[in-house]
Amino acid sequence: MNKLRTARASALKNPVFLPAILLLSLVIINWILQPNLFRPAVFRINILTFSPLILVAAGQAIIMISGNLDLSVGYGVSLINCILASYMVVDPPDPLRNSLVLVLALAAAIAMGIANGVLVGYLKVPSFIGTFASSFVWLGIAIMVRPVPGGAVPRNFTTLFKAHLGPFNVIFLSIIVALIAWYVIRRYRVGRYIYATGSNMEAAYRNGINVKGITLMAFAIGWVFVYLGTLALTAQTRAGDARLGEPFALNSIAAAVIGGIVMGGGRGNPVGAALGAISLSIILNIIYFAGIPTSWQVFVRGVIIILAIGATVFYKRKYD
Amino acid sequence: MSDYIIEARNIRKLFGGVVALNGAEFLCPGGKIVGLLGENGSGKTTLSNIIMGNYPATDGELLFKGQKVRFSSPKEAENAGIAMVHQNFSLVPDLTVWENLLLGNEPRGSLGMLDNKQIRVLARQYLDRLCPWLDMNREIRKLLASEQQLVEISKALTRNPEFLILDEPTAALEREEVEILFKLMKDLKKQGISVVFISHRMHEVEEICDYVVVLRNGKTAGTVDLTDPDNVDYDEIVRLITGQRAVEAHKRLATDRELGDVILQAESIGDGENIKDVSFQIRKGEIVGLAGLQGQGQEELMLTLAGYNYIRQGRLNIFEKELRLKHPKNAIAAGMPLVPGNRQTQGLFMGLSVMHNTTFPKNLTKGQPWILPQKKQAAIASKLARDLTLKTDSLSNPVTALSGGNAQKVVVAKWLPIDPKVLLLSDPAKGIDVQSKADLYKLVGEIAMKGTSIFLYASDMNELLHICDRILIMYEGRIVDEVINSEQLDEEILMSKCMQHEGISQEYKATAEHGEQA
Repeated sequence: MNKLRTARASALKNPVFLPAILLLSLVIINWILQPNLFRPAVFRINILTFSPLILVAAGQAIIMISGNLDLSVGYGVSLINCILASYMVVDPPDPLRNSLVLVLALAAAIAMGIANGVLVGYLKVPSFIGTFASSFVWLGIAIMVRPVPGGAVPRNFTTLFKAHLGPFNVIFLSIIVALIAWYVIRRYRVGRYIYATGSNMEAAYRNGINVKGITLMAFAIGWVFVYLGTLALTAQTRAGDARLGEPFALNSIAAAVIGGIVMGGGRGNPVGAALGAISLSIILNIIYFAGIPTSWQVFVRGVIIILAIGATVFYKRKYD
Repeated sequence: MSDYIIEARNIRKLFGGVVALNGAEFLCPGGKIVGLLGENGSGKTTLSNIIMGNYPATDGELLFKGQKVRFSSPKEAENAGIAMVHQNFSLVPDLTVWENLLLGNEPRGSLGMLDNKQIRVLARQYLDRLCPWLDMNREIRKLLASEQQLVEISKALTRNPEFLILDEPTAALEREEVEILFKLMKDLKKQGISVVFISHRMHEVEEICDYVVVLRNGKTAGTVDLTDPDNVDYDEIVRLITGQRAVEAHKRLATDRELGDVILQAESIGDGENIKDVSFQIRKGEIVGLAGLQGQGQEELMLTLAGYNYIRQGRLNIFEKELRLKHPKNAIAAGMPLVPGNRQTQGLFMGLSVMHNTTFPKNLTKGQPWILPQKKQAAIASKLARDLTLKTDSLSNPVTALSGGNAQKVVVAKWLPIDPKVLLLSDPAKGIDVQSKADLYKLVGEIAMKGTSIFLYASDMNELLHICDRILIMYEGRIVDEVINSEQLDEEILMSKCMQHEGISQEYKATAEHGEQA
């Protein structure tokens, strides 16, 4: 009896608990409206569509846990996408060159993370303003790389992400691996210090933690997730577009908040953010299958998001 | 070879143009407990921070174990064997107790990962010396201030220091916890570890320290030996702290006030949680104190009376009419404002001017014009400043520019323009120096003389004995006793009343432990 109570108490305390409940209820609503939701093919398509936001939101979550915010992930997605679509050789595919482009894009992602980390951690620019400014630099470079939408990635790049084992496609498995990687990072000092720095930077500093370096690391790790998200996105669009990433900046923050990440930092879990991203995406499904008139869809979506965030905030105040 | 573990000589420190230290000397032999005394702003914390390497001294030299040192970060000082417990905590609120204890010094296991198993074992060991009942899986933000303080001290011990600075460790602690801490300090002393004890509570300093170093205006004013308790001139210490000014901190205030009719009457009120069945009466012009062990519901009672928490049972009457409280504004409208303990976070708008702060409560009252009458308010504010003898060159200066003692006066006095009937004070003198404390209570006494009733909770029982007419004793959310203040009453008698009966502290601890598990 007592064990059950402590088990319940620790479940309630787990930061992933509420996002999971929220997602579960949205999935049930979706399932009622769309009975074939769990057919393997439909499940795979959904995961594939949601995957870019899931990964970007997980990256955003890591940055938010460190006490910051990154408004530039949107155009960062654009830039990575343009690099991939512009420099890969499709006809005929050149495997060596294309792999180098993949590495170049990863380097670009990490460089953007480091640049933001320097701006915020070392130069003490508030992240809200600093990353807002840097986002235009990323957009500018993306436009230089690809002035008009176009370019391409090889077909096997797409088929790789779509390949599947039963209902689990490669992208689903890579999301799982990426999130497990975060649990490993948390077992290292970097992981714990990211939480400490986000919770109270002054106190973390007093404990001898290199808060500047930790802030930089949080951005760099976060941007690896942003890179993975862009790969998943590009596999679907198969082209480059400098405006493609735009919605990801605010969507990833909303997903993280729905997923239990606290705006001030120090609390939450990227897994929650991933669940939040699925919730945010499933809302679109629900609106579509509920047959809501097109002109009403954006409004209804807004209301549902407010309810979701409201529930999260209310729950936090009550149980935490 | 030097006999001293720490020698700080002729330390000077400037912050911009402000002189924080000027000729501070501090010598500490090994294995001694040294009191560091001085008013707020006399440089105690600055000196500690310089020893700790938080910032460099402008001038002067520092020797550790006879070697000249200059630490450029707290980490370096820690590695050398110096640890400090700060007044502002260095705990990370969102991490658990055990994660905090070894934060920044975690042992690592395979593949360079954190060795959480060993961290937990070590954390438990260190916690057991001070607070064995504490559940170390709780997050810091969910602990009481006193529990955080004990964790903070435990954390300093994990650094295995040879020299330990405790900056006002007892301000957040109650008597029984102070005793555990003192026992620990004596153990450390036996091991040859030197401890610097910073406190405003004179009786604690007298009890534990071997000798005291007194700072005044950034300069070492003198050193007094306490090893032979019969030969200590305590007035000398007070004189060193305050300079030439006479201090009446230990004397009781005159109580020749005329008490009027009952103003405030509580009839078995409760908040459904921390307060149960509380009844009391307060007369016009009366100063009533609230005493008790830590966490018996004193603060909650104050918050409930001030409208922060709901009254769920019973009835509260003011002037024989029922007072229904849904919001602090109801209590303020009824003339019963709360003066909170923490002026920085609760009592003042630190960035706003003295004038804004003093006129704010008046603006809250009904019948004020929509456009605020600047001139009239300036007049109110400057009259108040004159009455209080506030030391500031302009009322448009932010309150941050005031000294601690002056700022504390503003916290209390800002309510005077609304003509309060009952003033609730929740530990108003926490962490302020002897002189400011005396000034503060002098002001409170004057307010009572004018017919305002005072309901005062103070964690330091001497403050209650100093000023109150009557003291209510709270235990487990109930008022269990009441004593009339007189010359015969002292801290010891009051303490034993608070403990209720022999062996209560064991029972108290047992219930605390039980509470953890539930």
